Amino acid sequence: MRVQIKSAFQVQRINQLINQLEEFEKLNVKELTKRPHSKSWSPVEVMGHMIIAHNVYKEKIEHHLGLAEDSEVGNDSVQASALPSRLMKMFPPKDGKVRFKMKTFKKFKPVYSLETISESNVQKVISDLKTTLFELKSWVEAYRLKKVNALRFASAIGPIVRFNVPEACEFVLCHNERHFQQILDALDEV
Amino acid sequence: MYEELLKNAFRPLDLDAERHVEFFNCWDEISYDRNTFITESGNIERYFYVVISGVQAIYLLSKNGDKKVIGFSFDGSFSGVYDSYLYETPSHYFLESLTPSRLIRMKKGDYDRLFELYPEFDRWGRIVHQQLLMGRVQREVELFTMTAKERYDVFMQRCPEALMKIPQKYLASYLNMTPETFSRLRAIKS
Repeated sequence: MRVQIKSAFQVQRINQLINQLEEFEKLNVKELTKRPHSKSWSPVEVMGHMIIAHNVYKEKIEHHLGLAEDSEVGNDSVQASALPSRLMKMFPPKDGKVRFKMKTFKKFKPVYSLETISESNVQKVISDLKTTLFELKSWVEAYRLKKVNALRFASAIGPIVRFNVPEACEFVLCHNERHFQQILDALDEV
Repeated sequence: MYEELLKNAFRPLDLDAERHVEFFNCWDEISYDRNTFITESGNIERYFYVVISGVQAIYLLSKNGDKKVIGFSFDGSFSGVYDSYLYETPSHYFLESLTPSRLIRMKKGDYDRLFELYPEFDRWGRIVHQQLLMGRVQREVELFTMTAKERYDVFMQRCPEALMKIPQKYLASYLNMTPETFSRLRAIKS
């Protein structure tokens, strides 16, 4: 079954992440930089990873939003194509659990020195992540008034998987939801 | 400015431009394009609105992101997400402009101050809350006791002209029926 992407639902979920991030903002540096296990990321590293992943799509999404004509009828609900649908079903956490653990490509790995990272640097990461979430929301608000569905581009997974803007937004959002759950799990374990 | 609009909206209060200076001064105007989120689920509603022109829908989302319309605002009516505004808590609802909309709005602090400045606003508050409550009870009765056809007939008898211009799916959702049923009933009636 293909995923039906609904723009209002995306906005609601992005707002939930923004509100959750504001809760993380209240935590101290120690909590945010502690790794639950030696091979697991700390919350701030997970945030760094989300920022990298978001920025991989930024240029392509903004370019295609710029190309698209305005839609008279709106673009409130979009059916995702087959391959993106599969990814969207795999990525978000289910019942508070991250499913289908996967290896991270090197270019998506955040590099922070956790021993020496300052409070202001941690706050900067949080602030940058918040900026990406507001940016993601602005893309959703833009595409719902545009004819963007036929304009496709290669995903960061590889050229076989091609996204249009609503699919790319949904993918970034599902990816974020997955990693917000990872932060909650890390904080629980710490 | 907006004297007639406000006098009509705040009936049965006998508003007077000289006596209620602070009241008339606390409004500012804002415009929205079609299909713009005025208030988003997850954000706090900061304003109480009176509609100059346009139609807006208030809705919440089901678990899978479908819109469930609970009401409309249009020329001359109040608008906003009232519970979020009063309690200053994140909204469960979206308020969206379905057509290009012009509204005037008042901040929460100004709203609260009106009741301190002008004792007659207590009476207005009592009356408007009675009307709201009776309206919601009436709607509940209609949803629980009437068939789809009866709900359609009753709604069409009292439906303002402005609502005839919005996409049918919003009216169908408000009447708790599928767009297909709504369309079939409309075809039979015409």
